[in-house]
Amino acid sequence: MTDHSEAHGGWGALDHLPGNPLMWVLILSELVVFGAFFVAFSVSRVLHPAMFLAGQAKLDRLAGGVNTMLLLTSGLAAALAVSACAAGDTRRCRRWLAGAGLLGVGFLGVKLAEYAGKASQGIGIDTDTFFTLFYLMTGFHAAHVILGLVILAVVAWKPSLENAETGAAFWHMVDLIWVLLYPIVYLIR
Amino acid sequence: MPSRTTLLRAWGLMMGLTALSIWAAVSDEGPAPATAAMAAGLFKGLLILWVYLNLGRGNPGWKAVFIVFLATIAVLVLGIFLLGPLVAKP
Repeated sequence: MTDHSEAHGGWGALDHLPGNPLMWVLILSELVVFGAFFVAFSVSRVLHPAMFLAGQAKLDRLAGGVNTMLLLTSGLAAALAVSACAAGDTRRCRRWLAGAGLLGVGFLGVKLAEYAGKASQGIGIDTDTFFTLFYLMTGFHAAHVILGLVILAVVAWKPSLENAETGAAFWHMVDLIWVLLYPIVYLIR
Repeated sequence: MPSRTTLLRAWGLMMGLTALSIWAAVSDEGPAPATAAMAAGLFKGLLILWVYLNLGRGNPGWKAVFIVFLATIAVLVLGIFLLGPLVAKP
């Protein structure tokens, strides 16, 4: 967090967060939405234990783990981009942002391969409650990854410190949601 | 801004925790690996906020908001997973 980010004024408590306060309104709203998804998923698991166990057995835990590692590394690159912007090194900032974006594309590639694998087994969003929730949660998250990639591209185009902090904050939110989604959907059984 | 070393340490720790939680989940099922996986997820979430987002040096109010939010999600998910089947039994 920088003095720069605290210079907005007029946003109350949001002024204490890095980047643009409006982005934090979005981030906090998204966290609440995903939190509700996680609780709904957990309650559905209790109501349909056999269906959820069978559904989870069809998921690739390793692919989910690889995706976690891709996003964590991408988050590191985004944080390093902010450091580079703060140091006034625009070129290095852009390079780290490109790295973060490429790893994000890698995440989407693994996710698409996972969806294609499910489709080839005849599994879709209407297969059962487990897969409805699986596709809704992971698909909604993937949509955020795509939006994050667009934001990172805009930041790379206009790499000010505020833009870098704002874009990185959104990207870290995408990362944060995945590190919770992964154990809840793939690992806990 | 966190130093490069701090960022790399946090990243290494999160990668290690991810590998451990995969291993725990693949080795066994039930309350112990579920708790380990959720605790690892919660810890990684806090590291992302504290180190990647640098909220560790930020406003104490926001720190409390994020700790309470993430802990609530983790406790609810685990609580429902562990206690739900007992409640749902006829």
